[in-house]
Amino acid sequence: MRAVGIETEYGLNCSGFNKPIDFAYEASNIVRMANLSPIFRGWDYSRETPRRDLRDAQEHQLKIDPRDLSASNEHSSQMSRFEIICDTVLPNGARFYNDHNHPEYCTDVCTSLRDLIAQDVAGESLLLDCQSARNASGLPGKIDIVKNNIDYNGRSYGTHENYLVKRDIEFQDLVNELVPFFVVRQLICGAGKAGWDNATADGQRFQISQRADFIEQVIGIDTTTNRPIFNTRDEPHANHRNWRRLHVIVGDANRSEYASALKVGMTALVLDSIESGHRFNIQLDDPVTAIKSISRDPTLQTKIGLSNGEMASPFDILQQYLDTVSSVAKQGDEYLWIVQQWTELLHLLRTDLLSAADRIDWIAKLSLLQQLEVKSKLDNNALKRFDLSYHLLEPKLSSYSALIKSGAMRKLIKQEDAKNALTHPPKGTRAEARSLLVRKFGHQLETLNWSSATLRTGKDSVTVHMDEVTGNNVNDLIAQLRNTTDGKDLIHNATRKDAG
Amino acid sequence: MSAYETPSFCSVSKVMLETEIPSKPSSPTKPSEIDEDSELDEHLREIIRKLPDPTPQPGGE
Repeated sequence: MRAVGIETEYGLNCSGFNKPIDFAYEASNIVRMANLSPIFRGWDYSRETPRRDLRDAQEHQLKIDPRDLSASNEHSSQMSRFEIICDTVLPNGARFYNDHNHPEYCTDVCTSLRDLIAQDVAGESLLLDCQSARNASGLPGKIDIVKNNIDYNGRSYGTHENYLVKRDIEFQDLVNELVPFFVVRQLICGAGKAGWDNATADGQRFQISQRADFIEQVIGIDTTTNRPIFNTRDEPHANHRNWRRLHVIVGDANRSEYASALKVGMTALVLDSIESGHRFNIQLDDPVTAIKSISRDPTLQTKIGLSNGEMASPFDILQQYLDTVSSVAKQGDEYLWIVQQWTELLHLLRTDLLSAADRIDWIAKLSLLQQLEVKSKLDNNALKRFDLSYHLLEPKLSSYSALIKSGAMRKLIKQEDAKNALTHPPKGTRAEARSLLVRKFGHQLETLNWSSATLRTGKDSVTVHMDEVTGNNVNDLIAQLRNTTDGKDLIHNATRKDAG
Repeated sequence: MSAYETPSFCSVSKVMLETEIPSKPSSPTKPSEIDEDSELDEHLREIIRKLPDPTPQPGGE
């Protein structure tokens, strides 16, 4: 699989607080509770370009949502920026920090689906441990951590997928080919949303996607407001000449490991097809309206308008994508697995929707809701609590965990593998190099980020570049780091090389 | 076996199909098949009763 990573902002559901909640303080506390060793605290922001736009390669001011919550800063106002953000690099090479007052866990890129899902589920395990430590620490109130994208009060936070894409693919081709796919893929990867809030039409009891309500434009660079289907952030965290990072913000946070794997796997196959010159030739008349109307019809009867004036069902569009990616010659078990699951689930969606409840989040949630509402309908507040319960990490409170425990949902990753992935990076990737840097030379690390690290001893320093994410250079670096016992040797060798 | 020693995702899927296929039918909650007094049902009702209403939170990203 191409290089893909997932970044997840977790929600904080708070109870028992007798004062307004200082979310910056609480999110940083959660991150600080990470009880893993070794870790590196800090992050080098000098190579970050979140405002650089793919369309014109210029920096733009990002908009701030004027409707955002005005939270307390009683404690955080006394903290430094370093303390609030609490940037942490974990033993598996992942990044864990406070982003916009949400604890965020970011995997580095992985090149196998299994590694990626293991790394992602490892994040859930980490956050659950942090929650337990925080709630046992004597701090006031209780926090339940949520893997979702909504606060049920009209605000959203993100789960982003990051795909490395060759830079020589025309930008407009990427937009044309991906936007219709991003609109319809929710049928398989939507997380479901029960209840309505300020962002939803009143009385919308259930919909397929959590994010659809918050999508306001087709293309754009903003992420906290005016959220687009296609985000144009140009920040590859890799060799800029060779790579774009396709920063996908339109997706939902999945609890189902199948849905998460298919969200990424299907998108990766569509990108493979685009890179190999195939075109899907689907253009939607109004993608923003379409993504909402599909989401708001869990009966799957909605048809959406194409730019040629015809109407199409989301099934037909997903089928057309599947037919094309299947026709592109590929090899490998992962490819076969994705195509097989995509085919099977599309068939179940057409013929026996609830039979897909063992793999698709929104259908699992809908099935449960139908079961609970046989006698009487839940009111809107109960609907929201029902929805929240699906996404809580605490197994005793989570309906998703109850489904797993009852054997009603399938898993891909064993719990011990997820735990293992917290301390083991995906092999053969630059995350392995970063992990070695933290493990072996942490005390000599001066700066660290996705694509570089600087080690220092006294006046001497060396910067290790990780602009490629896999391949010979990465393997050479990993071997060099394994074979070096002291960071001084790395610095010395680099200095000698420069002098030579 | 660690997550990284697995030979392939497809093989994992085959292993999963042999060992981790849901022990109940994959659509146990079809309305026509509902046992309203089921343990899961009661457990979820209790969770919904006990949970506090969702907290307003800052937007993210």
